[in-house]
Amino acid sequence: MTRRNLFEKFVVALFGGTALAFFAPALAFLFPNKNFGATGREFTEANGELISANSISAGGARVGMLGGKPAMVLRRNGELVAFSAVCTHLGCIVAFNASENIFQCPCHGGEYDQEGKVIAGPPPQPLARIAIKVEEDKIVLS
Amino acid sequence: MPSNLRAWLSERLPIDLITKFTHEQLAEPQPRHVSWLHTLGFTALILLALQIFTGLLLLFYYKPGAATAYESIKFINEKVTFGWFFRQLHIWGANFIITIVALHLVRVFFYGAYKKPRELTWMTGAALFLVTLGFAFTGYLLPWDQLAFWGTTVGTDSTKEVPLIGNFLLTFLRGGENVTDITLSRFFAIHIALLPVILLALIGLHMFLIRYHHISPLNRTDASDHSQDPKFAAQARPYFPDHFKKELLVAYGILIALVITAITVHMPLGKPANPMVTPHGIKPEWYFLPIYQSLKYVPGWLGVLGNGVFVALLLLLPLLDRSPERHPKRRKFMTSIGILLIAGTIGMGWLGYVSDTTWRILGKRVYFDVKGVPHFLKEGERPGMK
Repeated sequence: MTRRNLFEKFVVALFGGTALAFFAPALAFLFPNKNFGATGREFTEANGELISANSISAGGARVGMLGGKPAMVLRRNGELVAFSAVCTHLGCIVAFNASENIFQCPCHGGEYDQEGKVIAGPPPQPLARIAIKVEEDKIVLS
Repeated sequence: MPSNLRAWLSERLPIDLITKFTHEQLAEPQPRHVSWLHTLGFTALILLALQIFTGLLLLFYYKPGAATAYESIKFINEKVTFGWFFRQLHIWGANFIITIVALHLVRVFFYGAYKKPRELTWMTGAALFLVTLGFAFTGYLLPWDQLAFWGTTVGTDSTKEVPLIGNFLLTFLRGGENVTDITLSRFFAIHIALLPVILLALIGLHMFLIRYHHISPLNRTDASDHSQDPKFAAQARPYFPDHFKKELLVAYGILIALVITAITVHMPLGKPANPMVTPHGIKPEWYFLPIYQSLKYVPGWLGVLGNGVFVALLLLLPLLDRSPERHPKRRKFMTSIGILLIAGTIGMGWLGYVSDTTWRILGKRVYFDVKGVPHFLKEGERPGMK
């Protein structure tokens, strides 16, 4: 290898390294910090307003944010239970059909039983159960 | 041009060279088979210019951001003079441009114009079609109404099925796990800055290649150069004014149709986006219905893979179909494949359109389920009643 060759390789490495050093942070910049947005432990409306445990009547259900993700909290036999409200098919928000005791997705007809298991439609996975507890009328992740 | 101005410019710019080049381009002889069907590319270009113009106008009032986007669109619709008109023109312009670009692509396919040496012309054209769809997809979210929000949620969610990098892609597209105002800013930046740069670069390359290789003939790729044929020279007509007149007429007719549609058929602005409530029966725009419906019949990963393979085949078509024949009647296999694909796409789109809706057909109520399978309903019976 001649001195000129060595110098050319050095220049290529220098420019390549500089470009990489510039674009790697630019790529990372496009991926926001996981802590962005509403990631609180409390069950809230999308705007961050708290949803109290008392506001969910017997047999009723509410959709809100829990740990930064849409969740549904239901009062069943006097107890509050929570599931992910995001249909595992394509991400729509499921609704709770109290008369049939099932979760229904308004987008592609996916249905889940009261335990979140798929009973009809295209969802590939059950709705995830979320462990919650009540602290001074606030619903929080346990 | 006044002679002293021309002399001044000639000392600073290659005016004679530019004039000669322009005259050569305008006088380019067109093969005899060049017809009305060869006006679609020009029409797409004119529609694109209109999209840029109306998009720029909307930018003067549009405010990206979850808290402001919806209200600013409402303001454009209700308060800005002719705001509703330019918004409708932009929305319908997107629909028209997708139709015209798709028809242009179909024309090129059936005329075998993607064959040697025009492979790159096809690839840049197919890429332009995908970029056009990218514009439609990113622009769809910007009004930040319920349809926009949930259409984008469903549309982006399927990317998580891409093997290995699915979640990475989803986070990249949305700027997080869910569709939020970060997604809106991101789509806005892609829509008004990134895609236009890619689009203009691709159009430049596409048009250079069209002019460099000239309009494709209909004979075999291994036949002699048609431009050297005395018969061709006798029959050929110059691009300007002969073919240009046709292009102008078609583009003008399409523009008139666009304006009439924009005035008479209004695309409404829905309710503001609510991340907690998905409205019933969310469906994408007609041009994404075939993809939307196809994803219902197979597992998610297979649907995404299938659509990915389709896009790859579209881009790489000239490398896969290397037979020398161009005329559609002399390559019956590819012509049949093309007809089947078009029929399949339209059929799948129609199934997507009717899916999860009830129709009255010949006096009977018919419910098409999510997969498009018809079910006859008794009077008073609701779909899905148990």
